[in-house]
Amino acid sequence: MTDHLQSPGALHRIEFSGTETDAERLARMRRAFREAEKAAVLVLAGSFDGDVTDPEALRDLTNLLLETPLPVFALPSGSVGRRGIPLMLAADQAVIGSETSIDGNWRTSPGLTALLHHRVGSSRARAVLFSLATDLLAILVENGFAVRSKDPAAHIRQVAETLEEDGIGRRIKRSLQASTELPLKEALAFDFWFSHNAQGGAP
Amino acid sequence: MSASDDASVRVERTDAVLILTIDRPAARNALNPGILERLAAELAAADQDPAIRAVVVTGGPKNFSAGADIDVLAGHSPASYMASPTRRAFESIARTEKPIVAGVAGFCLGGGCELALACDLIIAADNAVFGQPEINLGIIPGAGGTQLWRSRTGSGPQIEAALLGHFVDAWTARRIGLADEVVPAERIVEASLAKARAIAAKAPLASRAAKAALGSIATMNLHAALAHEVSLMAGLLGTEDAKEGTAAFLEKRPPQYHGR
Repeated sequence: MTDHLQSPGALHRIEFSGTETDAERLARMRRAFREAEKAAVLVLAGSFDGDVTDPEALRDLTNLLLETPLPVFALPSGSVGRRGIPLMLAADQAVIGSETSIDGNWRTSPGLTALLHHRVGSSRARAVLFSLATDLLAILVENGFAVRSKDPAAHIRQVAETLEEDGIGRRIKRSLQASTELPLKEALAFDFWFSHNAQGGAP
Repeated sequence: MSASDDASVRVERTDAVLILTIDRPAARNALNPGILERLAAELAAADQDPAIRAVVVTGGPKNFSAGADIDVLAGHSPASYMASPTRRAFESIARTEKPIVAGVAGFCLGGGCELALACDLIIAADNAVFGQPEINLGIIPGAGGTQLWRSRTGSGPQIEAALLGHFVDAWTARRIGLADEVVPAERIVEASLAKARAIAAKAPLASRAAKAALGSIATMNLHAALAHEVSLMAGLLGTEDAKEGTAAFLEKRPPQYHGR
């Protein structure tokens, strides 16, 4: 499913079904990624509810989201279950409405610790995981990973418009990946290559 | 920049750098005997051409090479494979004396990965995927894929690659030492060229000697390799380039090397 912004296919929206298995979701996401080749942003919407049915498929799906070279927004509706948490945290940002909530004991969700560590940093991850707080969404909002909005879909459309021009969204996402994976100076060198247009010299 | 095209390999010269681009996009740059023989011939010619000081081997921003043509491989008997031009071409590429920079984007699998590993430096695009998937076809790598990872990555990744055929993305490749730098895919040629130009700016005889010394550990024990290094170093002391390099350093000016 593709939502049209300034140009066709700018926002590629994938609607999760609450009844599909993790393996079915993985297969559908692989197809969707091929279709989203020219999209500016990817939006994961629909049901994030339910328990893990296939940990291996959920791990592969989480990795797929982490590796995707375009910004990914999670737009969960209703409750977010154990299998929805890693998918939400593998996105670049979550946009949540007033009805969104966490279902069950989120601390037992697979992948939570590693993803939280990468998303909010080591100290904050420890503060979250070892605190008495029970509202994970509130903590994620407080830490800047999630944004509350009265109209999450409209919010994402606005953000997508700003990320569409000159492919800046994809460029930012790829530089973020480089920053995650490389030492600082190598990540800087990676980013500077984007500003290097003429053939020949070093950045 | 001058250029000539033939048999799915584009050949260009820019200053002292030779750029060899595998250009068979419909087959994801799969290596056939024609491509390998052309690469081998161009590299052998570069070794004889004093105007060329470094080489870039690339497949452009989409794919380096998805491997050998499976139908060509399937057509071999044990005897014909041993005598095949493909095998001879890989050996010839590995013997190249001038420094080679591999500019790797997209698929770099099987024979493509072995080709990259035959180069001296590997620049990886952020979309690069390395791997030796031969085990999935009931065969093993036949041009260095069970040996050449080890010196860069250590034995763990080498074994994983050969026994499991796992793919390695650009970031992991950098982390394990398989790749020397990661750049955006659309800049892979420029980045590889920049690296080759930096090498080409050094004294060419010294670059060649350094490559020979670096490679000696694969064929000699450490004692012999160290002795070989001393002899190569001693040989360079009689060159004009060494005199120019030291004079330029003392006179605080950039050196002008002529490969003499």
